[in-house]
Amino acid sequence: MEEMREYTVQELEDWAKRIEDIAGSFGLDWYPQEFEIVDYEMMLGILAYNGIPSYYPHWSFGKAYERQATLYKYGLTYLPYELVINTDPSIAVLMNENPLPLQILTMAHVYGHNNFFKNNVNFQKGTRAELALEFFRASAERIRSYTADPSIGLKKVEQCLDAAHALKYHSSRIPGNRYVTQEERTKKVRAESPGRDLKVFPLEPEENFLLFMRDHSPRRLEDWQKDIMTIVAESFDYFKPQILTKIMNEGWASYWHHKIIRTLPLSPDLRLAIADFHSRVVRPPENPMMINPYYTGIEIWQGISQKQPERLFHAMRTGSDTSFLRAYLTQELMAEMGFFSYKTEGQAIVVDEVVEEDSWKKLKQLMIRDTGLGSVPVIHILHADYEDARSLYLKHFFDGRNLEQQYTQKTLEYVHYFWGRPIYLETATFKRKAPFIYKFDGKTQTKYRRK
Amino acid sequence: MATFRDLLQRKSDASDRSAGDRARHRQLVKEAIKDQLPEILTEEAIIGTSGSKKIKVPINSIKEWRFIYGRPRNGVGQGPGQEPGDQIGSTGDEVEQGKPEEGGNEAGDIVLEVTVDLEELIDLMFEDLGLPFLERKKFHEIEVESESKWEGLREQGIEPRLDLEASFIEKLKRQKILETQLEIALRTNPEEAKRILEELEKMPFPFREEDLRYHRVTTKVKEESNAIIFPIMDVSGSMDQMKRYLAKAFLFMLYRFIKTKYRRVEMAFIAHDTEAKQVSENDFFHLSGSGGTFISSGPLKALELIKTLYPPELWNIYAVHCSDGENYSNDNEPAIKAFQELVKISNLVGFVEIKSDAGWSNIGDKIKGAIKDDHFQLIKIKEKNQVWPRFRDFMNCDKKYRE
Repeated sequence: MEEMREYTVQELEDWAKRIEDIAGSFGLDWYPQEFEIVDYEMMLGILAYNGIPSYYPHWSFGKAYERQATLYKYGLTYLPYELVINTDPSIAVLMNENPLPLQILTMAHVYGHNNFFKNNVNFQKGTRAELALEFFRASAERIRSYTADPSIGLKKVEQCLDAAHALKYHSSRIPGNRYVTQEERTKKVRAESPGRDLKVFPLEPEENFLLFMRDHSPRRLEDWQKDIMTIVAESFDYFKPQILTKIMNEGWASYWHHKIIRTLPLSPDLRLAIADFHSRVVRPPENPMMINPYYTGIEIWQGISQKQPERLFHAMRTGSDTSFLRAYLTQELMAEMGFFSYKTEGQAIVVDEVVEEDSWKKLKQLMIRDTGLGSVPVIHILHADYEDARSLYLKHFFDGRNLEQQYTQKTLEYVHYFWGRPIYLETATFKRKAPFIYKFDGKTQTKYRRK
Repeated sequence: MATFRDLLQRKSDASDRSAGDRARHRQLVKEAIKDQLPEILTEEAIIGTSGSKKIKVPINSIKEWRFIYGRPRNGVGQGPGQEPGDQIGSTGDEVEQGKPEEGGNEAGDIVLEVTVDLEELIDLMFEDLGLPFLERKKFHEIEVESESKWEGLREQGIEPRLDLEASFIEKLKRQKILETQLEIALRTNPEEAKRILEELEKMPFPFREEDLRYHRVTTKVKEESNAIIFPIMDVSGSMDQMKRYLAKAFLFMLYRFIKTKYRRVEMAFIAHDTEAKQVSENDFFHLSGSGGTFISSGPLKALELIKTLYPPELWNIYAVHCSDGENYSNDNEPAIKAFQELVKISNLVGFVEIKSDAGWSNIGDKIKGAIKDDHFQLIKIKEKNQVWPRFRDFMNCDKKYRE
């Protein structure tokens, strides 16, 4: 296996060419692909910012770096072999320390991702790949300028970013859905339903926390604060498609790296080594409480390719994880992949149900529930002029899962940072189901039963 | 056709980006620990223990707050061979949920605890109390005991003569210098900043050869080498966490300070309301009593223990009474008498009142008014930054040793 440790950039280029030829012959297209060669330290640095070359500074990225570095140091994770971003041209990162077989596998995998970024509706509707880098660069520059501005400074910028980061998850879950201002909504409602009461504010329950508060906060927000809110909201919009298609995307890239490798002219040693890496990537996870998107995705795509090959590309173009699982995750596949549900019993977390005739549909539903943005509670702004005092009334759409109390109360403080008036959040609990309210008025946190 | 760029050629450009955010994160971790010091230190038994004890510190204020679901946890997992009822995890650990945008790595949850040496926490406490840097050296433990008296320091020596205290100070100095250098380097030289950051990130901060200090040996012997400290606590009042923290800090410093002067030091914690009893360190800081107070019961208990276990011919006696000052008025005279007796046979006795609001009681003044001895002191502490100066002045009244 000695000859596999030494390779030149030229060799990598040659392999990339072969991979591209084969990918093209399979009908894949992609944004022009660029590869950057780094070492593992640089990789840690790049990973902390999700691969984006010039992200704005924030301590949370330092924390992400530390965490990844610790996991890596203790052998608890391989650094992801591949890091490729949704840009045009697309940029992917290869680690210098990796041996040739892994580099070949990685490159094949990268083209699968690139093809997905280019063709899946979530990305097409929700992002502009050719503008992304410039957006991040310009955003970072402005935020740095606020930090350097003596009348603002690091602490104030950090406080604003901390709050914005907490709330960025609350926006439309459909990529490409533009934030609609109240004026536009009013015009529309006036035209379509003339009888409706227009004094309700917001006119319809509002999903987008940051942009709504930016535009309507009773607190006098400075321009730099509004800019930060916009930057954070739009940055999250950029990543949303990736969150919503994690299983599909990793599965697609794995499916195609597998097919490409099978077709590539490889020496027996190379083929063996690559097969070994491949099997490590697509297999049940070490931690049984998680699911492996590479494994789950590739199994489903292979299922589609066997049973309904004509739908393959269509499924890639039009789906997101929820529809993908709903349509193509069969009972058979579920049993094969060993899915199960778990629940809490006292201090222990135990297996609840496995895949059987009478349980698999419930299991599947649970899995779909947790996919994509499933871990983010659905909370809307119902009233922005509550009590006729510009208080903010939020409602959590309770689906059987309780909000975590400490996190909820701390996050309400962040909402208050932007809004400046009392904040109410209506929710319920698993045990009692009767609605109750969290309230934060700027000083005190309270909790009480809703009348 | 794909293009390739070898970024290893221009490594410094890319790597400085995360250095700033990592340094800032590290700063926030340190501040988080400092903020939680009262909580951490009042929970741990620290006064009698070794400095190499390790403490787990949960990091609260660098949690990334957002709306999330809480207990009970349920969901879907993946793994062959699982049967209903199999245990796959537990709810115990302090973990933070992974964020939706984080990569599909296996380890979603992050454990948010840092393991720190007690000595490092002590040092943070001293920083918190505003102890001048050079004063802190008196409080760091000497692990090694020897018959010989040590005078002065050398930079070379053999293991048994290693002065951990002085070496620790050197290490701290080096750490401080590095931190200052880091700040400068972050602005001017990213390569250098990275290197310094890596050095600092090895926690606990390691010793280097050049830090080590050894004792010069001469042949004097430590005389009078036993000390007994009686911390006495009035547990009838309500001591909030901040008061407990200040009391503990004061007593901790006393213990460490006395330890530098005597070969053997013991502590006998006494808690009282209307009655007194000997307790553990943890109980000392956590018990609450019935509401009534006989201050005299405290020193009387100490006197009882002295009679039975700690004769003044063999033991140097130190006592500190902590209270919020209230007392049944018919106990005032007995309290004064009890303290008078205690003061006669002690090196140093303190009556400490920790109060966050204005009203100082008059019992403290009464007792001090009746006992004129220099080595009996009334100590009033209102906030953090008073602990050190009051302590320093108190130690200066030690009948045996003057600073």
